[in-house]
Amino acid sequence: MNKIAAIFLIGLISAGALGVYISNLPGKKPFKRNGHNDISRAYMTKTANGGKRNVIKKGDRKLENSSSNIVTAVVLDYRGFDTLGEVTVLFAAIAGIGLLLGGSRRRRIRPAGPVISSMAPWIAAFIIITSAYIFLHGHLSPGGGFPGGAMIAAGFLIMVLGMGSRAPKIFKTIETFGGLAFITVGVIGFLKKGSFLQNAFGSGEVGTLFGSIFLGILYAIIGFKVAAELSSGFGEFVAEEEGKHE
Amino acid sequence: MNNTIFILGVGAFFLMMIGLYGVLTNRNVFRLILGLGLMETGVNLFIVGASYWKGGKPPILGTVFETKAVDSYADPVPQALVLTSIVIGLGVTALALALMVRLKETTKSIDIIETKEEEVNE
Amino acid sequence: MSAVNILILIITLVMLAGAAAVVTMKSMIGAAIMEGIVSLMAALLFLKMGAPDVAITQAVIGAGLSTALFVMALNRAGIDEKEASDE
Repeated sequence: MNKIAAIFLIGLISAGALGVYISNLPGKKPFKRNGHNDISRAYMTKTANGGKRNVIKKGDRKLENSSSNIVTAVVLDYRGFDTLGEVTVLFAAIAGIGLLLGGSRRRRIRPAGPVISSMAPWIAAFIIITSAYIFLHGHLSPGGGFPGGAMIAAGFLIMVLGMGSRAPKIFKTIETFGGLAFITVGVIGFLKKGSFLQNAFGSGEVGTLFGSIFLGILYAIIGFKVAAELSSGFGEFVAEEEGKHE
Repeated sequence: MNNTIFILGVGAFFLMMIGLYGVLTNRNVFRLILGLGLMETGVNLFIVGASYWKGGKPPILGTVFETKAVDSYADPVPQALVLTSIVIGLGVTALALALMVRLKETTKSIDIIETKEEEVNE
Repeated sequence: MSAVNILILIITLVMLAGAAAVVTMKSMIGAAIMEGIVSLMAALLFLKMGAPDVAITQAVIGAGLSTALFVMALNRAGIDEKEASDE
């Protein structure tokens, strides 16, 4: 497309959209209330104490889920079905990559120079330990299964690029059983409590590692699944033909 | 008038528009994918920015255990939506790049217009 | 304009400049790396907006993994810098 035409079109869109946006900024008429809407508030109070607007205190026990991180509670508990769909979309995308790039010929990956190839396992080890912390503490501190899994994949990518090792075969198995495990947790909720993906493990004390074991299990499953998917999917991009370098 | 929310909203919107410009003016498939990535980042920023207000704290219990704690938190629902959206965006980008690699292998070019002409000539 | 507002304004301007560089830059690897910088600035903005979960995810995925993915895909496809420049 012509550059001038593109700039004209974008200017038109910008003028219209900015006009609407500025006339509707929060603080003016339609958004007078400077606060949460009811759904967010319900998620944040977790219907503790019979749905009254009380604040959650340290050591509270009778909550729907005792996760400190409310975003985790929304992602895994209240909107767990969304997350299941999202994991499925990710699985479909990675399967598509395997279909498009996974040729039959095995190619060798050229390892990097001595400095990088001797330092790579150390860096990868630190990255993987950090990511284990991130996804195990997903319900206590910022983080969770998605960034944790992506960090594990980054660690394996460093090992693949630096040392020329391949992603092990077990990743495919983890990928398969991760999805099954997620659905199994959902079905346990269905059998014990009556609806799919409901919290069937009870809730302990707020702010402790084993207090919300349900969310911990789900985030660990997601972490392993995302890590296995991304590692095996990105491994297809790394493969490089022998003798092509230099 | 809330200055911060204005800066965030307009910045996110211009990021979207720059991505759209990149998508419209390039014929190179790799640059199309980069432009789509910019648009995606802009949309995510806009969604979270729309729920921001001044002094909104991270919605994590344990940072604030006070009477009005819930009122001082940022809205968690848009954050949860964007969290999943980012991960899906990575999957989609990776799939698009895989398609680009296949395109380059079969037609020896990543220009969308040249690719079309070659198919006609065959 | 408070100090926080000025900080957010600076981060936003750097992000927009990076985005403009992605669109106009001749080198494709350079454009991919600039996209990583845009993602990093977006992660800082998410942090300022009180969304640390999203900030961590954006920093790991947008600035780390997807930049590496772009460079690896360019390598794998064997695209040189000279061919397929726009115009």
